[in-house]
Amino acid sequence: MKSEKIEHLLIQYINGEISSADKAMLENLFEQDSMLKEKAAELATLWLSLDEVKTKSEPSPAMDADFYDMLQNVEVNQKHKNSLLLHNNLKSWLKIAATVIMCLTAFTVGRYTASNNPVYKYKTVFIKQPIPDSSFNPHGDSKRRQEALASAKPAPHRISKNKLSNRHPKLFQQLRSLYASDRIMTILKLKEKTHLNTGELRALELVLNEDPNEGIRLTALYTLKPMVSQPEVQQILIAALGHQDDEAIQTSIVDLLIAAKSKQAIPTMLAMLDKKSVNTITQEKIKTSIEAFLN
Amino acid sequence: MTDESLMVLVKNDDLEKASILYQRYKKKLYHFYLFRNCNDQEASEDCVQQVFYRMIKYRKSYIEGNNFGIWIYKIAQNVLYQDLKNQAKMNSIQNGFRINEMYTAEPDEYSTIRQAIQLLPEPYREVLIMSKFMELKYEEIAQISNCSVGVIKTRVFRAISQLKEKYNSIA
Repeated sequence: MKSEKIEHLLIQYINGEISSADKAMLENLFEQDSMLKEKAAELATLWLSLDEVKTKSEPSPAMDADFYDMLQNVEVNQKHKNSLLLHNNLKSWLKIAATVIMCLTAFTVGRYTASNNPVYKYKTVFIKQPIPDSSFNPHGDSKRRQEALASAKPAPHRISKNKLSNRHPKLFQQLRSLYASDRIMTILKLKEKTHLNTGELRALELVLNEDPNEGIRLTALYTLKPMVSQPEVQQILIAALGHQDDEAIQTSIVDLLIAAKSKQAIPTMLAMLDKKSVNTITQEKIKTSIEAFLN
Repeated sequence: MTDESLMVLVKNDDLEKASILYQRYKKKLYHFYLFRNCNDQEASEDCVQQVFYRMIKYRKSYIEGNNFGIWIYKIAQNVLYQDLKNQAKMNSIQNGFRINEMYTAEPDEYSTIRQAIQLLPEPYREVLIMSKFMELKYEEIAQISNCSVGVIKTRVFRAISQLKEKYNSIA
């Protein structure tokens, strides 16, 4: 048998962990080798004496006391740490709850204190009325003026806006563009033409009456200026005069009509004398012009 | 209740259970240090305190299912190395006044056997202490020492054989 195997059997024998089969095998070896038996006995005695050494050297009671003190300290620290953690958690939850309550309060207060009035969006709608196309005596009284207005000839037949836009869809589309530059370009293109047809004139009338931009309306006037001697153009200017709220445009139209010596414009210009919105300089100009026409 | 299940409870902050583990392991650890620490009783008790302090401090690092004996032994070893380092520092400071405590211990009937243990080579002394005083199984010692059970049995046999020789030479 190998010496290593014998060593393993001996150590198991010494500490009492040997199996019965191994013990029998070892006892056979002891019978054959008395020295081995003696050695095993000596080692077993020493092994047992180590147990006695263990029992003789015991820790002092102070070690137990120190351990329990340490354990108590750790437990106290642990509890303190836990309570601190709980406190912090509670604090965080309270903060969240306070925030939610404040939001709800603000929402409730806002709901009951805010005005219930609906919001209106205002839109200006212009209603166009035909202006009678007739001459008028500026020296007559208001009754006569009314009779003259009543007996005024109806405005010549005009092609409706829808029909016009159907005939010149591109022109109308360009004049209704959102961009002022596009609209000005379209008007300036008309200016380059030597002769404008009825549709194009109506388009310019539309610009004069409806375009919100004063500059574009003035451009339209500038386009019509060379043709102001034409009765149809004068008609457009007379009709447009009633729609203008801008002094510069009113004055420009009056100037054009005076330059053209348009007698058809007299009733409309007389009506303007009663309007407070027309400035005094324009009114004086109108009066002087009408007197000049009559003389 | 097994050591492992008690340690799981300690890990889950049931610190009361640490006292049961202390009662089970205090003597084993004390003897472990006593025979590794030149019989310095006070130093050994301090080391045992350190082991249980670390056990509680690092309780969350214990992995459930692992052998508690091996885990606590590893802590004990770390404490021992730390203690040896501190001792070395102290010795270097008090170089001229060093007194070997082995000779300061009062002689008793077991002082010879204690001295004989101190004279054993380190690998043999280690396995003898683990086996006899820490009461670890050969399988557990093999796992800690990272070698086979056969090697451990051989080392224990040679440790006890050499102890006998040292004892006889001192006596």
